This record gives sequence, C-alpha cells and structure tokens, in this order.
Amino acid sequence: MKILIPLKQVPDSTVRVSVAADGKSIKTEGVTWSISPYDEYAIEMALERKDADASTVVAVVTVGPARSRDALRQALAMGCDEASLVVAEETAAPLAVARALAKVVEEAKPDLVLCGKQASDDDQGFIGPALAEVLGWAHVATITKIVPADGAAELWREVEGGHEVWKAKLPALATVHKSEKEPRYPSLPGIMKAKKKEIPERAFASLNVDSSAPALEIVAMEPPPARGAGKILKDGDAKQTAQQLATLLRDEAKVL
Amino acid sequence: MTAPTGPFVPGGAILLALAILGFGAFFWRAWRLYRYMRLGRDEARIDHPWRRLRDELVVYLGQRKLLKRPYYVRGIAHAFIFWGFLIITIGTIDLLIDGIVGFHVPGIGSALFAWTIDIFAVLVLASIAVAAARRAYFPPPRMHVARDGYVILGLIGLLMVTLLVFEGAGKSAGLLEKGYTAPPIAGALLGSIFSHDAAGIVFPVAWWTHVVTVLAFAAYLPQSKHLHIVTTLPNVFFRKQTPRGQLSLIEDIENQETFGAASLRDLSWKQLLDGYTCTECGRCSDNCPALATGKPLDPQRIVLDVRDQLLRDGPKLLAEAQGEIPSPAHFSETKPEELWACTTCAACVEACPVTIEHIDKIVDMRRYLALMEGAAPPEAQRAMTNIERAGNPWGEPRETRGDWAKELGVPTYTEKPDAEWLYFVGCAASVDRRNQKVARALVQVLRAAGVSFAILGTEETCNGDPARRIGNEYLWQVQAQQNIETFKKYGVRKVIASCPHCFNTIANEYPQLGGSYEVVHALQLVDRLIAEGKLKVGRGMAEAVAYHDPCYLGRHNGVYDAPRAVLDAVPGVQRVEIEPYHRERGFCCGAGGGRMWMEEKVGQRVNHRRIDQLLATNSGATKVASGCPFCLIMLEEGVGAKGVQEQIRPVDVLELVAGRLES
Repeated sequence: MKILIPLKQVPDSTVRVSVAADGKSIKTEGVTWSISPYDEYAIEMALERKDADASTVVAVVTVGPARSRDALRQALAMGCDEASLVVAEETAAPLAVARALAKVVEEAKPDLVLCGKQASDDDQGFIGPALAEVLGWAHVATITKIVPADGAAELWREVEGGHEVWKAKLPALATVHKSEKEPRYPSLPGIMKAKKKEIPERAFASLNVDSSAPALEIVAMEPPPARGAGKILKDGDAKQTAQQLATLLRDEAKVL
Repeated sequence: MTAPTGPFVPGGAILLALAILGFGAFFWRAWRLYRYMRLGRDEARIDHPWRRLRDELVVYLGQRKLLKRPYYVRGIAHAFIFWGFLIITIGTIDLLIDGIVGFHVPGIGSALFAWTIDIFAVLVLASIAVAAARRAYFPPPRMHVARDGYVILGLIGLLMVTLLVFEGAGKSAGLLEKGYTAPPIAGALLGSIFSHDAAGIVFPVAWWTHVVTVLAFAAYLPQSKHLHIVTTLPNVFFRKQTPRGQLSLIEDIENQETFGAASLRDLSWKQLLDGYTCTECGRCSDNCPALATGKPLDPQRIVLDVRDQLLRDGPKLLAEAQGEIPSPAHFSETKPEELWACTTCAACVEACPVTIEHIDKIVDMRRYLALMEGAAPPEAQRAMTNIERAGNPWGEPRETRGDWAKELGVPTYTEKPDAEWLYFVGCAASVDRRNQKVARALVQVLRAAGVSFAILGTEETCNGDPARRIGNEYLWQVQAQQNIETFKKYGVRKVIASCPHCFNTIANEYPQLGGSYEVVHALQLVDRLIAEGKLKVGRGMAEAVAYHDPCYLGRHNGVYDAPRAVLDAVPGVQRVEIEPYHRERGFCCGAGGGRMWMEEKVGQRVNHRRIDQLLATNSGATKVASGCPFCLIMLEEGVGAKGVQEQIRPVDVLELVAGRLES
C-alpha cells in the first residue's frame, strides 16, 4: 500500500503569534515552525501501517515556501520514505493548493491519501475534502484508525458514544482526527538519514493549475483582547466575600 | 609457624600438587571471566592515577564505603573479616611457601605477627557468627540470601578454627619452630586441651584441613559472588574519577551509527566488571526511591542481570567473536519500564560499598531506547519536543522566557555587557509561576549584596539536563552548544544557577563540549556572601525549617553544608533534619532523570513518600526548604495531595533569606 500525506508547516504551538504590520497576516520573524499537529497524527497513522506491513510506502508532500523543507525533513526523520516540495512563496488560494496537490497525487498514484483534519494555523479544514473533490475520490472525514481489507480499507471514526466503521474502496482520501499512539519521536539515525535524503522540488507555477478561485481575501486579523487583571476579594468573612462575589458577577461580569 | 616437613616427608610434594590444583582452578576460571569482560567496549579509566591509589587505600583497604549509616554493625563485622582475611593470607602464603620450598616470609615468627593473626582469627570468628546469624534470622529485606553466602562463611569459619587448632596442638606437641613466637591466643585457649600424643595427631589433621580449605576456597571463589574480594581491587581502581554528575559524552554524534547499550557488547568492560564485583548486599536497592515506592526498578537487579547474562551468554559471545554463532542482540532481562523508573538520584551509587556505577548503565540503556528506537515514554517525548521547539520542557513560548524579570528591571547581557556574573535562570524559574518567585528572591538577595549580574533573557535555552538523562544525548548536545555559543558571545566566565540541574550540567558537563566556567549554585554564593559580611540577614519570625537535600546538589556534587549554613545564618530559623533521610541518605523528590516529565502511575508517588518521611519526623517544622525548583514543585504537589499544606509549607532557602533582608 502506498500512502501519501499532504502536510502543512505551521507556527509551532509553543509560539505566541502576533499580527504583522499589515494587519492581515502574522509576523513570521523568529517563529519556530513545525508540522501541523493533525498532519503529525496522519503521519503516525501511516507509519503504524508501515510498522505492521513493511511493504507500505509512506510519502509526504507540501505546498509552501522553501522553509517548509524542514517540515518534510521532520516527516522523513519520523520514518516516511519519500518527500517532495512544491514551492509557493506567495500564499496560494486553498482551492489552488488542492488542485496542485491533485496533480501530485495523480503522478504518485497512492492507494490512500491522509490529510490532517485541519491545519492548526487557519483551522479551515478545507484541503482534505477539496482534494477529494478535485480527484473525484471517496472522502471519509476525521478518522482514528485504518484497517486494510483487500483492495479496500476500513476507516474508523469516533462518534458520540462509540465508533463508526466505514469501508472505502481504494484509492480514497481520509482526514485524520487522531492516531492510536502519539506521533513518534524520531530516532537519531532517522534524523541523520533524513538530513541526507534528496527532497525533489518544483515551482508551484510549473504545475499549471487553475489558480482562479473564489475571490476570497483576508481583510483583517486581530489578536484577542488582552485579559484584564483578576480581582482578589480579601476583606471580610466568607459570607461577605460571597455577597461581594455575587454582586460583581451580576453587575460587572453580567453572568448572573 | 610450622611446616609439614619432618614428620610428613612426602608433604611438600602433595602440597605442591594441591596448590597447583587449587590455584589452577582459580586462574582457569578467572581467565574466562576476564575474556568475557573484554567483550565489552573499550573505555579509558587511567586518568588521575594518584586519586585511584588513594581510593584503593580508603575504599578497598580502609572499607570506607562499608562503614556508613545505617550499616555500622555489619560494616564493622565485614571489615574484621576482610582485614582478618588479608592478614591470614600472609600466614597462608608463608605456610605454602615453607611447605613447598622450605622458606619463611620474613617477620612471620615475630610476636607482632603472632598476636595479630590470633587476634584477627578470633575477631573473624566472632564476625562470622554475626554475619551468619544475620543471614539466618534477620536478613535485610533486599538482601539476596543464597547458599553461596553460607558456603563462604563456612569456609572462612573452618579456616579460622583449623588455624587455631593446629596452632594450639602444634604448641602442645612441641612442633613449633625455634625462635618463633608461640601462638598467644590459640596456645592459651587450646594449648593444654590436647595431651602431647593426641596433639601429635590433631596437629597434622588440622593443618592439612586448613591447607585444603584454603585451596578449595581459591578454587570456589571465582564461581561465587565472593569473587568481590578480588574484583573490588580493580573495580575501585578503575572507578569513575570524573564528577559523579557527569554522564559520558558520545563524541562525533552526527557520524555514529549506533547509540547506547542494547546488548552486553555495548557496555564498557568496566560496566561488566561491576557485575563481577557486585556482592549482592542490596544496599543500592535499600536506598532506591523507585523500588521503595513500588516501581519495577531494582538497581541491584540491573547489575546482576547484566552479570548473569554475561556468564550465560559469554561462551556464545566468545564463539561469535570467532564468527561462529550470533549472540542475543538485546538485554534479555532488563525491561524498559525498569529503566524509565530511575530518577538518577544516585542513592544506589552512594550506597554501593564497591563503587558500582548504576546510573551510567541505566542511561546507556536509555540512550539506546531514546536515540535508536525513539521509544521514550510519550510524555517524555513531549517534553523533549518542547525543548527542541520552545527551549523549555513546559512548551511555554520562547519569547516569554525573560518576562518574570521585567518588573524588576533585571538587565540582560545586551543591556549590561560588563556584568560579573551570569544568572542562568533555568526553565523552571523562567516559566513556572511558583519558581519565578524564587528567581525574584535571588535577584533581591544579589542586589542587597551588591553583586554585579545579568541574565540572558530570551537568548537562554534549556541546559539540556532532562534530555540527557532521558537518554537523548543529541538534544542535550544541541542545547548545550547553543548555550555555550551564547556564553561565548557575551564573554561569560562566572555562572550562578538557582537550579541544581542547571548547576550540575553547566559545571560538570559543559566542559565536555569545551565550555568551562566558574559555576556556583545560588546557595553556595549566598553562603559566601553572608560569611564575607556582604549580606546581612535580619531577624524574622521564629520557625523550624526542615531541609530537603536536592540530589543534584547533595549526592551528585557534595554540596550539603552550604545550604545548611545559609539556613543557620538566618536569625529565627531553627534548622531541623528529616531523620534519617538527609545528607548522603537524602530521599529523592521523584523529579530527577527526566522523571519530572513522566507519568508516575505505579505504586506510591515518590514525592508523597518524601512527605510521609517529613511528617514522620514530628520535628515541628512549619516549612520545608530546598534549593531546587523541581523539588519545590514536587514538595508542593506532595503537601497538597496529603492535605498538609496548612501545616508545612515548601519554600526555597532563597525565599527565607530574601524575606529577611536588611535594607
């Protein structure tokens, strides 16, 4: 089985992002980048398949600026077999990215495409379903487990109070909610091998995708309002403090 | 003494044959053991030759590590048996040489030697009685009571009895050589029991029994754990002379192909020698906080599993070295969950009388799991990913690292390039709210004493200690190199650390990567400032404060006195000890060795046991003071979980000082 994972490099969850001067994007200087967490789950899920069946090939691809190469190296260090980069220095429209990925998928001919259910930067959750649509493939959302089944795959989904098991004929696309285990930490020989591995790249423009997309534009980005200092009620006994608290909750916070 | 010549004419030839048999068996087996040991990888252990010789005198001959609290009685019994063994060996050598070639060791006939050997024979007998009774009736819980122990005690006992009997009988029978001092004690006790004629028969029987026992002992020794009489000699000589808190460096890490220890061959020869030296006394296990709280780790088992596997697989490995059969690729006995339970607190290393190095083995095995298999527990992996990405195991934003200091206006090196000291804040005091208070306390103290210092702010990154102790040497090296580069950029020479883990790794481990600085723990500096009169501490409320020894300050670096001196210098504070678990026997808080970042689901939590010990002292302490951010977090959690936070409050010693500064 060949599994292809389109991944996205995003600001690491430990980074405190701030809005850039243009008011429409985030500051990128000094930011630590990493693979979007749901994409890491997708990689882990694919690698668990590979652990079970060594003939499994796991490939990763990303559409993004040159720095995205580090994310691909990280995926290779974790144990993925192949990686390729589509260089797009300008942020491409999501639909155009899906179209570009469709071209990569058509060339690579995987049996299964796994996407993280959403990227942790914009939380759109768009690429997976859109890519399935462009390819005309079956799409199963937010899976937690794959069980191969002779030319098809059983795809498990967590739902309220239990599981659903879907069967998809391959090739198919699924978006990943979570893997069974936490994404693995790369071994040192894995890191060293990944450093030496060739990562072929091509320009976004060379794929000749239709870049006409719904005319969407980010108009503004705002950080959440700063949290005011808390209040500590110290004076008085328990009863008085409770009264004060109730008053404040009613009159100031207006939650009662 | 007496020789078997004269009345026993063929004695010399028989004696020679027996000696060849006994010592032949010894050396045949010893040679095999040596070859197994050499299957281990090379490791140079000949630095500091004079210190090695001194250790030989103190630890081997002086029995220093046996005579420790709470092991005084058995320690003294052991020391008598050991010293007696050495002295009687001189007599034995004389006996054999004289019996075979008719030549005496000089001084053997002196009154001094006659008295010494007899006194020790009696002391050894008494000690053997103590040791046998202990084994039979009140063995310590962790001791491995095997038949082996009784065999050896029996052999030694028989040696002493036959010695005294043949000496006494020899005296009665008038068989003593001229010019030789008569055996004083044996003569007085046994000299008159036998008639002249009976003594003439008893003497050769006892003499030959003695000699045969000696040779049987020699043949049996290398089959038994009592080989430690021999192996302790090299094991002490080749012990680690680098700081205890320094783990071995993996050199040229980017170009290695395998890491850590997966099998016997990956351990060094010294680590294999440790196995031959283990006496199975169980002191390491007695003191292990993981074992005490029901974890699967038993430090003695780690050492013995390696030894047992070596003895079992040694022949196969030797054959494999000649290209015959493959050997097991992994340790067959030691399980990952044992390795991950270790807090690297060094209680085992401290307790071991024969200088076995437990932590180095455990970390080598962890290195294999972490670097080759990527198999550290998931929570530990999360901590390591956080160190990689955010520069701290909590995963707090890198940009916020210096925020705690902003209100206080603490300068960074960029703002104050001529600062004398770097205060290396560490992750805990940078991002953990409780420990930020400790950092602020230190700033107050340093300012009051007029110390010139600066911090690195966002340019500081985790020192790497948790990663290194989890086994991720690579991440440690990356972190350490990054800090060393930053230190170099600002010309840092002197470093203050308020965290013993930062202190240990910067002081003892950064030199491995070329970063050598004068490093002090904050409490050492405060102690010095008080002693020099630069820091005045005024009177506060009277309170009893228990001191908790952080492992990386105490056992790893021998800093026991400075924090106590600081506490004693604070007027109103009455220092109390957490008897008997203090100083060298201090009990870990449970956070070392990367354990801070791992779940603790099996058995009792180590920090809860520590609080139990604290409460059991009934010392009336209202505070428990430490000098380590991780201890502080663990103690805080412990008093909370036990519901005693109103009764006893965990603090850092620095906070007690800062609260009483005279302005």
